[in-house]
Amino acid sequence: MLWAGGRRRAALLGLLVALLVLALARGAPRPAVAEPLAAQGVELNVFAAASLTDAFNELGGVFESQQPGVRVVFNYGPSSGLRTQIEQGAPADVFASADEAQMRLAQQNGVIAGEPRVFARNELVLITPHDNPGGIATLADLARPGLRLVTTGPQVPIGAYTRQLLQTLSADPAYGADFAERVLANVRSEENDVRAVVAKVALGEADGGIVYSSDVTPRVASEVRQIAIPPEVNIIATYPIAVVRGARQPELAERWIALVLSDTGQQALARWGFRPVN
Amino acid sequence: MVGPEGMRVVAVPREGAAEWTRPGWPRPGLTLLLAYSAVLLLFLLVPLGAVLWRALSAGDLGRYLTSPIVVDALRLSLLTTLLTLVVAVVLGTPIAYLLARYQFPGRALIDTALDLPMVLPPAVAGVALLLTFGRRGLLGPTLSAFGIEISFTTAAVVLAQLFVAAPFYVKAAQAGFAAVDRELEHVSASLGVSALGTFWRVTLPLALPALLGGAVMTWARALGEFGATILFAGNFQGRTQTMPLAIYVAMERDLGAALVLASILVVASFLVLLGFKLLARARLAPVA
Amino acid sequence: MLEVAIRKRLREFQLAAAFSAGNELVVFFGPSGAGKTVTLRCIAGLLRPDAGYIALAGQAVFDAAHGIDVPVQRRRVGYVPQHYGLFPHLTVAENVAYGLRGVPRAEARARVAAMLARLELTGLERRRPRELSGGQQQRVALARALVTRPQVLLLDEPLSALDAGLRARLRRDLLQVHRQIRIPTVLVSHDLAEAYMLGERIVVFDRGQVLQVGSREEVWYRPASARVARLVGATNVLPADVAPEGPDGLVTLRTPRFALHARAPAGPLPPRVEVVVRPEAIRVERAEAPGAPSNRLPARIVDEIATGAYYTLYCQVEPAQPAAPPDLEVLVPAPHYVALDLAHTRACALVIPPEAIHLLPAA
Repeated sequence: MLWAGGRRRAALLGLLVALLVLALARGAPRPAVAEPLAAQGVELNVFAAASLTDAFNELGGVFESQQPGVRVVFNYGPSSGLRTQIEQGAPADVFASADEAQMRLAQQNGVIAGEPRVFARNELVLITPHDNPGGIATLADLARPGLRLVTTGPQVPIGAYTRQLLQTLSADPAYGADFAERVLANVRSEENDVRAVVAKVALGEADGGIVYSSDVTPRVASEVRQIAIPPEVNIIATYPIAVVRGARQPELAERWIALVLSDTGQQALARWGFRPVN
Repeated sequence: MVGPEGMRVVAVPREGAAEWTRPGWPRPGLTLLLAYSAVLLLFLLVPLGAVLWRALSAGDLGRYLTSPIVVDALRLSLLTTLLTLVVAVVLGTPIAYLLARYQFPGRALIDTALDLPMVLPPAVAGVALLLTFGRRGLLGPTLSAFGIEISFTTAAVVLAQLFVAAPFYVKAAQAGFAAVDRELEHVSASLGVSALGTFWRVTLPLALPALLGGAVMTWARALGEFGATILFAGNFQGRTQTMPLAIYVAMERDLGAALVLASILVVASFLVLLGFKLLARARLAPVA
Repeated sequence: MLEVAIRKRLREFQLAAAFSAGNELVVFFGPSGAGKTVTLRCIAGLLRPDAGYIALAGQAVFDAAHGIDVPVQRRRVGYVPQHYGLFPHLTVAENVAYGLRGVPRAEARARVAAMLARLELTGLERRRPRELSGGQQQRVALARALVTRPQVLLLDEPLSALDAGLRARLRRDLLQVHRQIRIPTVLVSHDLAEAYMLGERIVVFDRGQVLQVGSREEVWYRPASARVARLVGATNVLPADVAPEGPDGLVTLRTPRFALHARAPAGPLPPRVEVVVRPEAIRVERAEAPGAPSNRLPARIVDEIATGAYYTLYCQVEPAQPAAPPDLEVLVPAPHYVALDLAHTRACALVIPPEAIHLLPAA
């Protein structure tokens, strides 16, 4: 019968299940970057805005060589989404946001330790697919009816900045008071984060989108065409970084922030298209 | 069996009904069984309960229920999943019948290929659809020539749902058709009924429970579809923002709305599935 | 009128079946896998022969040479498969009315009611097949097939799913139905008694070959070959040399262990023949009692099987050789067995009437 010696077998089975559950419980989400087998040791969890993907990945390598035995694990996404995750208890040590609004919200909700510091700036640029199916030459063309534009939701920094820019332009009689309205009417989708916007434009699915100038990385540059936004109207994005309250590695978090603010960090950010803070 | 007039109907025990061999409940082995079952059951039910609990205690339910984001998402989800279901049934039934009844070269390949959308990550499905129907996809230029652009439209939502959910129906229908005794179809033919007539009057009614089960699974899968939708159809309130997308977005903006949406989804799904179960039990009694 | 002459390549052998029948009850008889059901389904149109000809009521429904293959829907056959094939999702009335789609409602209702009455199914109209007994299911299947007024009725092992008592009753029902509705009826059976009881004509199948077509008496008493003989229970098949005809019109047949006299058949006899004697045709008498000297063989019972109403005796003609296989198989009614006290008296005399001997050319 199945239960012969049953008590013992059942207990063994239960133990196996428990072990299995425990074994799966460790291990935070891994970043998309392929890694060699990580050394046993400490993990630093960095939640960063999507636009920081390339720059932070590079700095992660630097940090790991500086701090042997430490592995930096990144979680990239829309700053608003990351904030929500942290507020719901996700294990973050550092939060790097693409705008101050999200950082302020995080502070209001009590998940930030200490004072945030601005570590990078960025500016916006208009991109179209390299073959420019929408025939967009200037910012004003964005209001042309029938275009397929993409952006993010207003809570994501790039979405907020974009709407801010559109409002600024609407104040200019050359564009017209309903400019923002007309452009937003052309928006076909609110993507998850700025990198998704870049992807949709690069794929040719959208006629155009407004992203950070740093997002036009070498990899992307061949697939898109950039249209500069006049500096007098362009939005300067401000990126704050802070230690998360209740971080498991507060010291390492501080060291990471120090690296980002150091010359090494600033040079790396500059190389990836960010504006320096100083 | 029912005998001649006056004979008592003898109850036939339902298949699988356990019979307690001793008075007193539960039996020793059963306790352990129930304990093990409870683990998974609780794991599935407690989170659902948590959603409903938080949603109800968040208050202001009325405001959320009538807010545009919720109404739009609900309407869109219902509309698209219904369309997906109809298309899946109409297009999938012939394939299911073909696979169930006929042997032909490449049958095993097609059979396996139909399994793929069910096991692939939805994101892969989204990319695949983009590469096919996107503006620069395989069919993109042809479609554009006719003035048809699919991505970012409600049609794209239906396509995304169809891609991931239709195989559920096809597989269930295939099994249902295969289970119908072919001799019954032969008898029908011998009585002068055409092939189509036989399908309509014999095969389909007998396969109906399986077909309905497949339809419900398809609808459920379509309702929960997220990855392919967001990649291919995009995210736009009222046009492509289905319930799952709305919940995801709301999590970042307004947790209350997210909870309400999630609760509606849980309750609606539960009611539909329950309704189906009751209907199936009442009208589609198992046939010999 | 039913005419069949077909060939079909099957997995294990080549099927070749040819026969014709009028408004009679024809039984396809033979062991399982002999091709009976395949032939039946070819007539129905559910299987396609490789070559040949099938005609129903004078019309060709299959003719390989002229490319004719009428689809099953248009052949107007009444087909009842094994296990009856009742539609489980329809009531009895709906089952029976199934083939009457094109018929006006009132007429269809009347025909269904009449057929149900004829088969004693009145009162069961609203029942589902799973609520019916085996006998009722069979009659519903028959009603359904017959209500469409088919040209031929085809039944595949209609009685094999039933227990003994029910079978006897349903055999009678079938015969009665056939007498009322005189159309060619083909019935597949592997049961010898059933075939004899039902078959006005019997077509004997074995390994894809039609070995004999004839009335039941012909097949039973005058099997066409040793194979048929064994299939129809004429288990005594003995090789014999023929001695020249004697003065009394009897020929002498010398088997290895004894000699028999039989009536000389018309026409010349080959020098070697096979002697066929049915077990029930052999009379058992007391060993010492006087009797007709002709074909009276002293014998010893070496084995027996009791089946209640009959005893099957395995005998060796004297001088008995214990180690050798028995010479003759004899079927004896139980009362006779008891009267002769054969349980204790193993010695007896076997008398084979000359008219019970059937001769076949030597294999």
